[in-house]
Amino acid sequence: MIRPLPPLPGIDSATAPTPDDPGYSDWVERVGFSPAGVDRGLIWDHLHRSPEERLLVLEQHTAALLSRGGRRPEIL
Amino acid sequence: MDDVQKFSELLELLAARRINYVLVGGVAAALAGAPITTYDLDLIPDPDRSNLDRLVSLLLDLEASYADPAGRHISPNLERLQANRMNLFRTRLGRLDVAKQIGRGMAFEEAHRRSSFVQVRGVEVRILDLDALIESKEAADRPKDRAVLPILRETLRLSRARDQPPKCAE
Repeated sequence: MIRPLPPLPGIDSATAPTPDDPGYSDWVERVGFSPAGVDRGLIWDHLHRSPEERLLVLEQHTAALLSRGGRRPEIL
Repeated sequence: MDDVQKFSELLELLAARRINYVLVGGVAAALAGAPITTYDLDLIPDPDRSNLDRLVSLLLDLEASYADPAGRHISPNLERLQANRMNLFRTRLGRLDVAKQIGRGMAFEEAHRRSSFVQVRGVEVRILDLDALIESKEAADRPKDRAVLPILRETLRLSRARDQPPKCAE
């Protein structure tokens, strides 16, 4: 079961476009990513985890990268 | 030793040995909500002599050795911790970096003032606040710091927005 999340700050879910609207993809790119290209949804999801869950995710990702012999990239 | 990284176990051991420190770097950023990964645990210990003695004792129990570019086995001791700005260790639980200061000279006192507690597996962990982490990454200004800065800045923006009380409709 995927955890429900509140809308990103500044987004009104009642008036937001849906995947059926032609401009939906452009809208997602505009509001879902920062000007630097950072996925705001990924951060929003992480912010709604407990510190313990965040550490577990970090350990899982680090273990997976190390098991493949990798040391980069350092971004999930 | 380089193919393991047991952040939780390291944090539990630091608490069990009553070592006073501020967690900085990638693990602190991840605990603060940034979706990043890292390979080492970075901390600034309280420079109090007895605290550093406890830290050296833990490092020795963890079979810590300096991550020496020349491949020598160099063990930690009090004098080295006190003298070096940065001490990079390989331990049996993974990489552990002990800093005297980070960024533009941020030492324990300032880091402690700009930190807060998070609870992880029953352990209270003191982590450097995100804005201070961003400052330290900006000051370090290495390629890996520049790569992660946009994520940290966006995490700070979103965490502040999340913590704002909802606006009431009239």
